[in-house]
Amino acid sequence: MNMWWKIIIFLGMSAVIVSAFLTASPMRAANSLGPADVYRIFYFHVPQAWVASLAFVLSMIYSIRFLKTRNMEYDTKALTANKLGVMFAIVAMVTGSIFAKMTWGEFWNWSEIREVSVFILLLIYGGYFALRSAIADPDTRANLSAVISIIFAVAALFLIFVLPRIYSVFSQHPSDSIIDKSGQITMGPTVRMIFFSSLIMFTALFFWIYNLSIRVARLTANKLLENK
Amino acid sequence: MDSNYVVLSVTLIIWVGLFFYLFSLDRKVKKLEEKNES
Repeated sequence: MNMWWKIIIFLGMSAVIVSAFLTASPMRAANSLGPADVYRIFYFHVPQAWVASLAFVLSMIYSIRFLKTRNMEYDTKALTANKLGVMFAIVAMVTGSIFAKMTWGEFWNWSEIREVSVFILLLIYGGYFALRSAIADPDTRANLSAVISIIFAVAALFLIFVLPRIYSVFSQHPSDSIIDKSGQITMGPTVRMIFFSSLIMFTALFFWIYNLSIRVARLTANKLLENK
Repeated sequence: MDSNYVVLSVTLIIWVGLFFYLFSLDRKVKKLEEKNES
């Protein structure tokens, strides 16, 4: 990534942060649970969850490629995508929990399907990393974790997007904050502008961190080979 | 409205810190890559 991209990410994300707090709250005071200002976290919470699901899909794509080519480079890419996916899922969970405290009254409630589903998501990815560290042979490890990544990415998308909508009785979490049931964008022009800029900036930031992590992993692998 | 400015400045400080960390990490990685190639 060259210099210009970094400058764009820096200025863009700074502009998103400033405008998220200085424009009117995305929620009208009449409709809000708790103070309307709290709803500004929406500009960050939703892109974080989006980036997490993007990372899991990316991992699935590289796992499929790995199974086709058996190139270990794709195994590293899939692993890195899963690590970052879990990181962003944790960040989204923390912001979601703060949001829940301010609007629903509790940081965590086991009857809220969103919170249970993200918990299950983190548990199954914990299983992924446990499995990886339990297998010594690199080829077996790469094969198994590629297959598991593909299955888990489908499970992740199901847990994030489908399950809370099926059991919406057990969820206070809104499912129409971006598009409503007829597929129309529900936000006003200013909110829409800031939200989509934030989405783009978080995605760009994710790819920067992703690129860096892969390069670090490559350097580490080279160093390990030299020492052998 | 006042507390909005507090949250805004905390968020900005965290972002600037994170950005410069990534920026310096990127430069270090680039140097190591060049060293590895030569």
